[in-house]
Amino acid sequence: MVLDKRKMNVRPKPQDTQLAKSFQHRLGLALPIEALYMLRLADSNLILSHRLQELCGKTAPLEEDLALSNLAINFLGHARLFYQHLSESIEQWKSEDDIVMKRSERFFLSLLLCEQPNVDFAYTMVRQFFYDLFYLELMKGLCTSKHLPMQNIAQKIFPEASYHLQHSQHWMNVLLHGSKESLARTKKAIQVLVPYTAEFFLSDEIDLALAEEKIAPPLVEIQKKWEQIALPLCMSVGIDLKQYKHTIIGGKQGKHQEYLGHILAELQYMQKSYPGLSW
Amino acid sequence: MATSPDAQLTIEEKFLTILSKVKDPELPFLSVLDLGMIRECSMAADGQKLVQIKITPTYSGCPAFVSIQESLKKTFYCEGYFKLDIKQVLSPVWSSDDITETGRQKMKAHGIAAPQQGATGARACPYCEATKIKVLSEFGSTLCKSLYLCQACGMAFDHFKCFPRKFFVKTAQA
Repeated sequence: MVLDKRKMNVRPKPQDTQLAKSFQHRLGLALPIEALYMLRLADSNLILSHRLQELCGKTAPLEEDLALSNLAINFLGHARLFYQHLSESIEQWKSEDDIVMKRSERFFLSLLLCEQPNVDFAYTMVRQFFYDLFYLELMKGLCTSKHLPMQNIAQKIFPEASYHLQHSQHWMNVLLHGSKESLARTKKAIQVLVPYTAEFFLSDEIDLALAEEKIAPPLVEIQKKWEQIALPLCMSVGIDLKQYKHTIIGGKQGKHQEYLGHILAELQYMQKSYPGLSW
Repeated sequence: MATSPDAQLTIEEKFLTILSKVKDPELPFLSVLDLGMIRECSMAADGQKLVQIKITPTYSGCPAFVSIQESLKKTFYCEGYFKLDIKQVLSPVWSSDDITETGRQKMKAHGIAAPQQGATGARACPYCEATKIKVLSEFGSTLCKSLYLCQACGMAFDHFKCFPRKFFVKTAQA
């Protein structure tokens, strides 16, 4: 979305962005744009964590089973850091559980890539690699954010995110330069998942306003860094990521595929059946 | 009035003794002090015997963090401090450099390769000191550990992951 030049320096008021409007009208929440931004990061981590949790006990080598479970719990921890901050700063949200358990999928702002199913190990790793690379660069940018809580959280996440990338990058190399079978499966996964990466770098009014205020890094720069690593890696086996022009977007605005509904049905089942249930 | 040996201790020393009794449930030989998690521990000036503690998480997803906070409350309660104000702080961010020398020695004694200062990866086998080691798994039994194998003595051992501060992104304040 391209903004009117005159409006560039003006911070959008909560009621000015489409997303904030729907939160205001449907949930009665007046969220500042930083909160919506954090919600996107937190939700993406939560949903990706849920996908990885599904693999717990199912991955063939024991080391990999440990790795994916470790990743899942890390992403959950990262999501919680954001939710904790939100629950402290937004009055209507009393706790982290409030934020996660009481929203329907239309109000989940996670990236579409995160909800894609674990079809096979190649899909899981390609999804992980695309996301880890983006996430690391984004967190690096947020480490110098002018928004102090965001900066503190990013500082905490950054070393862990770089550890994640080492893992997925290693696996990408193994899969792409492994057997014919692994290459074929990975190619297929890349083909299916690449359209979802467009959403990483799509700036809407929230991203633009926060970049303008030096709270968040400009997504154009993140895209450059992402491509510097992802393009040559895929090119090494003759896959040109640039040839995939098709894009699938919507998650950041709360428009999801069917997958998220199923994830939430499982995640929120107890709280929906027995509201306020606790241990 | 009889004076107990404790009476000579300053309040900070008392707190340090109490804090050294609070252990990490996943590494029960290490206290929160060894891990460098306590950023501040002081008595509030209001005369209500309120202890204020600022604690920082080691790894953000670590499930032990909740139980450490519970254990803090319990331990202080047993020592006669009934009111505790525990705050989670993220800045300055925790790094494996914050682990104390005692902590590192305790890890080694329990067969865990301690993180190196300012470098990543394990350096030597904690059992035989051999440096011919290889990574078995980047991710181990808990978030803070990875699994190694010593090729000299054949023992598999845990390595406490290194997150040295020098690799962190510098902020304007730092």
